[in-house]
Amino acid sequence: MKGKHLAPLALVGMGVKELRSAFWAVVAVLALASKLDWWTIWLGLIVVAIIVITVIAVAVRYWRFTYLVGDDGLTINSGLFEQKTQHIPYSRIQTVQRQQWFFMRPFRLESLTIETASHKDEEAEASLLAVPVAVGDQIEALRTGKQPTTAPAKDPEAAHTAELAEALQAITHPEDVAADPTYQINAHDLNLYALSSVGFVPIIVFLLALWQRLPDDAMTDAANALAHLAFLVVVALVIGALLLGLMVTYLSILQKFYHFTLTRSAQQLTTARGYFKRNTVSVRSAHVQAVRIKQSILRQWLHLATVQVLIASNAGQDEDDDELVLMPVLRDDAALTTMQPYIDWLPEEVPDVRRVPAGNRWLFIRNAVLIWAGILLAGGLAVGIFARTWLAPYLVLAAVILLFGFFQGRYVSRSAGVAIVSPDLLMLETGHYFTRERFLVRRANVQAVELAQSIWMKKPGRAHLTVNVRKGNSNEAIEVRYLDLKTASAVRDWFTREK
Amino acid sequence: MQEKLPAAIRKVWTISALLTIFWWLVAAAGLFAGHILWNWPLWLLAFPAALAVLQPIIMLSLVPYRYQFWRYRITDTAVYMQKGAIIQSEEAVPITRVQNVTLSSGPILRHFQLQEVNIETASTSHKIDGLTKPVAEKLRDQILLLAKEARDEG
Repeated sequence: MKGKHLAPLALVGMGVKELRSAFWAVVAVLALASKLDWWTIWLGLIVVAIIVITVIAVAVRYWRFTYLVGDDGLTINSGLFEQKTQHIPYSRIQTVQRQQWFFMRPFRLESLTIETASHKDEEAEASLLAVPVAVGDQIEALRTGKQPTTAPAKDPEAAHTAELAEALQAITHPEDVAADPTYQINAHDLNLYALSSVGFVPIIVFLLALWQRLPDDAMTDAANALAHLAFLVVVALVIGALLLGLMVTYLSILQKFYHFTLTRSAQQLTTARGYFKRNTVSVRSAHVQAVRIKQSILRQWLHLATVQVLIASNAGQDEDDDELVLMPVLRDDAALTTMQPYIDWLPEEVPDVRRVPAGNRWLFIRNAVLIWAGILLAGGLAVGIFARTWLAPYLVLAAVILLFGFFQGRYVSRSAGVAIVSPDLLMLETGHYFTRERFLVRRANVQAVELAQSIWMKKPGRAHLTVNVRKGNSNEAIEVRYLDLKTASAVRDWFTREK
Repeated sequence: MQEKLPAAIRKVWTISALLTIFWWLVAAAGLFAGHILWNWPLWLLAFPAALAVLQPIIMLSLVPYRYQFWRYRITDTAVYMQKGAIIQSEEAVPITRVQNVTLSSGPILRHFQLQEVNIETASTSHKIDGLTKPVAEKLRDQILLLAKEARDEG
């Protein structure tokens, strides 16, 4: 069977990339010409040649690129001189990502990105720049071993088969089909998510405090009122720029998670989001490496949390911290019960967490303060040598930062903890920069466990615990520091099942 | 934990510690070139010079402790490693998670007929610094066999 070409719209996508390098080549040639004062007819010819070569390269690439949706896998042929044939069996697919820009919608086209677990390089295994939506449907259907159910109205027979398949499924796995759980974000939640992502409130409070304090200090320093005015203008500009930046971030998050939906079919989780670019990612539930419930300190105050999954694919890129978002915002105390219909191995409620012993908490504070002190000392030396007049304000700043370090360490010490939920499930809690993360990991997805102790930690019986989980094309080392050795060893024994 | 590394690994570590002097000297030469070409301040040279002395001293003094502490063990279900000097760590890798075992040796290891063993999982990599060739090969075959059996059962 012969493969199909991409839709001609793909030429635009391929062209953009090539044109960029062509543009720089032209700029380089022109820069050289102006330097050598070398304006002849040849120059024009070179520029034309660059453009022609680019166009030909794009055309050849398009012409040589074909794909074939087979029964057991996707086959992609590409390349002119170095011809490449790639075969991706459906069973190996980790994620199918479908992206549809608004201008592709009228043509019923979309971009398909397919990733497997192989981590040879950062690029996706297959990237079909523009194909009819039906191709994506077909791949998804073949992958889950079901008939496509996207157009049941037009084809009653197919709908009937699908119904039969589902009924059969209901008999064999009643728990899977009980309902296809679906979630769609509402305007209020979306707004809440965007606002709490930006972290508006603390920044504004901080800026207001700054606004009230700084002019007074500056007044004493300023030689005249004009300098004072100039200073105010600068401050106003800075605040204006900050506000504009925040506004842009807020709006971009709004559009990114516009109409966010999460659905679960028998063995598959699918998220869809986006206004200008509709981004749909589907992953098999069995391929979820870990669930992460994340809260910034702001969200903690508001009792909100975000739920994400770690997967062996980069499909979550450009989402919150590059991980696939399952639930942008939900009440933190209901996080597990809300998510349970989607990921059935989640526990019903938060188990008892073994926290870092109270006697070890000061170590987090010590480390945070020491790290800041080291940085501040280096900066202080530089200020002392090169800008002596700034030493006093620098010291004030240093004191504030050290205080910040104290609270940072304190926050981390109170966030860290671990809980063995069941023989197959572990929960880990960590804190970084005023963000708390709770990981739920199945034993089967833990790759390795490491216990580390410095020689000074031996006598008091303290240990750092690191649990390694696959994430994207690399590793997520979940580290809980300064646990008591007994708890840390218990986790290791839980993992190795040896005493 | 039972198995120790072969005694020759101490010589390997000693040589690598001494080699750091060379790399710091290269860095110093680079800074000196910067001084001649672009008038970089000469005192910058103090950093690589100090490190060229400090790093090998620290590394050399830790060699016996490192050797004392290093252990590895292979059971039917997992590979265990215990390593470090000041910060000591224990790693546990179940055989079922092992994807790949690679043996490699640079010129220093080769001179002592040793091989480095890298045990890779889907996301992590665990290194045994050096084993004699027959032991390394036996270890690799043993791990891969156990991994295969475990996968077939699972």
